[in-house]
Amino acid sequence: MGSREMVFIRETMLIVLSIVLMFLIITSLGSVASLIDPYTGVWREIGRGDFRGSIEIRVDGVGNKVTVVFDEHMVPHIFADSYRDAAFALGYVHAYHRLWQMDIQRRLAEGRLSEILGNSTLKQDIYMRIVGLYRSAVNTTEWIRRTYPEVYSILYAYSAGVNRAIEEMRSNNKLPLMFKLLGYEPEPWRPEDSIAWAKYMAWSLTDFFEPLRLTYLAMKLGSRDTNTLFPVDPYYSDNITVIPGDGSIGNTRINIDPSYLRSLDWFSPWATGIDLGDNALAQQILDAIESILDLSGEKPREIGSNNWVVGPSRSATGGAMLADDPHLSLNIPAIWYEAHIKTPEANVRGVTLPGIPFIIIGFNEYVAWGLTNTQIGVMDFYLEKIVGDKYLYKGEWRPLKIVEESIRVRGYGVYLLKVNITANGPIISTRGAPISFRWVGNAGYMNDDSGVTREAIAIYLVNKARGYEDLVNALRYWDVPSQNWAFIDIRNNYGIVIPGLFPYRSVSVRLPNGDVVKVIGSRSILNGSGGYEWEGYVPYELIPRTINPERGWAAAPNQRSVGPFYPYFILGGWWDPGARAQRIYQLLSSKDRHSVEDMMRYQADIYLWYAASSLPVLLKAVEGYKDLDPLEAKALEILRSWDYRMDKDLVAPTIWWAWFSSLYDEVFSKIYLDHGIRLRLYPSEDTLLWLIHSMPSSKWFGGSLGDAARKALSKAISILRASYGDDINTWVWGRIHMLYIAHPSGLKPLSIGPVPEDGGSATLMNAPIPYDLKSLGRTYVRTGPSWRIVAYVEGGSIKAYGIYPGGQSENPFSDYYKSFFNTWYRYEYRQLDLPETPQTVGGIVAMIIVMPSR
Amino acid sequence: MGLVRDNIYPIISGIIVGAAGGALGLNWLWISILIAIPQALLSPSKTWLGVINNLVASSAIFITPIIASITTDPKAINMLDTFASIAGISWITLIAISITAYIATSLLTYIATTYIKKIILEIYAREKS
Repeated sequence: MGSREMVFIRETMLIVLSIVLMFLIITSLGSVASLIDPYTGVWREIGRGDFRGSIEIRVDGVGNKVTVVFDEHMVPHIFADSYRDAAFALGYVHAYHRLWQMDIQRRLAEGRLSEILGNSTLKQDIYMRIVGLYRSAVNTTEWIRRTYPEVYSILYAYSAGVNRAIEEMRSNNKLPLMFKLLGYEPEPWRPEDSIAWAKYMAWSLTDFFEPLRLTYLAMKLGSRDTNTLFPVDPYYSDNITVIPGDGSIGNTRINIDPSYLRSLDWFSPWATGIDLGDNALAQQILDAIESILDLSGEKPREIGSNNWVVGPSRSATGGAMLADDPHLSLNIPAIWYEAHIKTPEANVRGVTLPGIPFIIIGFNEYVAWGLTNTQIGVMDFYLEKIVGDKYLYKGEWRPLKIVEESIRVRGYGVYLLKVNITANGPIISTRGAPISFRWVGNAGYMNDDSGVTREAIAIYLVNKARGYEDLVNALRYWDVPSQNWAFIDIRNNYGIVIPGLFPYRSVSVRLPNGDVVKVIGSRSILNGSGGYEWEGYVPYELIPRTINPERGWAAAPNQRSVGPFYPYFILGGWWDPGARAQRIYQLLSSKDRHSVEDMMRYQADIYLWYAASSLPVLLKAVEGYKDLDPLEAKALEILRSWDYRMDKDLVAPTIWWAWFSSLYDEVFSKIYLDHGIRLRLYPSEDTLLWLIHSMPSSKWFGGSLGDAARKALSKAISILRASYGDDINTWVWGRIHMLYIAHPSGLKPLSIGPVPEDGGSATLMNAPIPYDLKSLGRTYVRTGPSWRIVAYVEGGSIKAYGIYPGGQSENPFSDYYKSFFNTWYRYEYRQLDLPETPQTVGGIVAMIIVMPSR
Repeated sequence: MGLVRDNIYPIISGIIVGAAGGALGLNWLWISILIAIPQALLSPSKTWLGVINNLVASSAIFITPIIASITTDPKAINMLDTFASIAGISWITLIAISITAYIATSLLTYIATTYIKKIILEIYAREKS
């Protein structure tokens, strides 16, 4: 071989080597190199979306000029000639501030997370595809298009605004950081995406799996004990219902003794059409229930919300007042986005859900409103009989409706899923007996399986309501999730309405005494082969409401809705047991007149009613024991002087929580274990409280409350000592009770906290961690007041204050990423006004003029 | 004239093309390649001179905007701190790794392109002879 050939080979090898090295560099660096890219990397994130100065854009999507001004908190104030045009602008700013959040949310609702996140989210996607929110969203959107073109045009304009922003960001290489990190780009926004997210919110607030859990417990523990631990109505709920009175609506009331109804065994075959004692079936059902709970990842929830209204007779200012703080998962970016919209239809301000073009909680010039979850069961589970591709229904074998879903999984290909649907709904169990479910959001307002629901119509009408009558009329269309709508108006009317689709059954519910009753919800799986289906929905005229109640106030912190004589028997009332309700009833009854500052103080209240109601009994139960070690004695001494406030700087809440948690285990763990119950389905605090007061010598306490409490105390103190040392003065609540507001990526530097936090799972200032000693030091507070608003009537107009934990921008490198957090953490508020013109907005930092392109 | 032809022209051409790529919003990979190609076409008589040219041009193109960002906006450091804590290394290391990668990529592109050019010219010369 000549030297020329040698040179040739050497040069070729150099080329190949260079290319191979380049390939290695590119692949090994992955997205890191792109992030620090001097031209297209994260440098562009600094202040992205923080509008400054004046910008004018010309678009096809608006009819007339729209002016958007941003105040010093980056809150947009949108001034337009129509709500439709305002929706375009809202979509535009939502996208600039929250596009990635919106994209993840719609993917979550539509079962499309795996397209970008791969195999890790496949189970979640399968679950969502079975539930079928997107199928219902498509039908709802089409129905809105045909039936309410005005509302559809708003959804459409909003989508156009989002898409305009996407195009601008894409062409300027300014898509949000998370798109770059995950290596994908957003698809255009569609009205169906807005509806899908609304459906997801509805689902997440009404997906009560309690009938499954109670069936499981009844099969393991027996129905008698299950009824003791999970009574039809919470133990201390009789005098704290949302709607004052006995529950009757005018002259309409249930004609069967409610206490008889409560005493029945609703797990019996007469009530369910299923013999849970049938051993051949039992294992199949248990397997199915476990598979559903596993697929859904659902655990008993510890969230709730507060709202209350005070009438002029009890208000220090003489004007009606409203307070509302919905307790939801706290994430950053926050679930809420603040906005103000001024059009000829409405001058409205409050919080929006990014992805949805309406103010969800807020106020306009005439009314203010706030929501809490009603917690009435609007979903039933059915045991199906299936042979091959047919199911038995009303005596005939019908073909299963099969929906084929294909889920693209990044890095894996396509996962094909067949969803089997019966007349009751989709089969949700993945092993064992076939169990389907029927949920109002899929059944639809006509109960025709279309999934068509009308919340978009309702919320649009609420946004432009001119008095409480308009609001109450608008809520006729509020289908799901059922909410406690607290309101005030400028004429000083105040009250709470509980709208929603409440399905009832009556044909199947023939009681042992021969009577027939109309029942809402269920406590058990029902026979799916016909006879146990929904008969209809409660008519709007019989929807519970209290308007200008005599006592001068009303409150709805998720407690039981109505008294015992409500015309329908609510069997599936998954209400909060009522500690927050007890406390707000206490506070609102405590003085004649309440000020705006009082309302704020009540939202920050950290008094624990359960502790106040049970601690004296527990202390008395253990006082005869002489074998306490010095630390245990000191702990009891601290508890004796406690004022029941879950203050982050106090030691007593820590001791209380550890003792009560330990008592839970002492009471339930052995019995549950003996019955083969693997799930930690402990009852709520009110049940333990009731057992303490009513059954101190029962089997639950091993025959002696004193012994059980003594043992629990010893265990609690020994665990605290092992974790935090012998110096009891350092065991402050804020050391174990910490708030962590996580970024969806899980990246800690993009999250808030952990920081010490006040409150607990049943204080008005809601900050739950479970009563579980095993979680000590490993669990953070992750839910709480996601938005606080206090509104009141003064001088014939509505004034308001509000705050949410987080900030307007999802961009971690924006000044507005978490700019509201400290104010919220300190229980402070920002004043919210309703400027009439762009010029009257205070502290303007930027302006966008949106002009029609023609 | 040697300095101008062997160094100044290639460096300036690399910088101009790289800056144009940056202005067009191209990412680091394309910019690395863009810098290298005109330099390879204008490659000097000695290979090591070309390597220096490439190092100078790509350093200027990649380091200057980062320094500008850090010095003009205090938030840039905060941002880098955040990323460094995600990655578990200091932000200086983070930047050093990235810049080394950009420069190395450009250099490898330069080397590959230079030798491709040589081989093509050689084949062309052989066919001609």
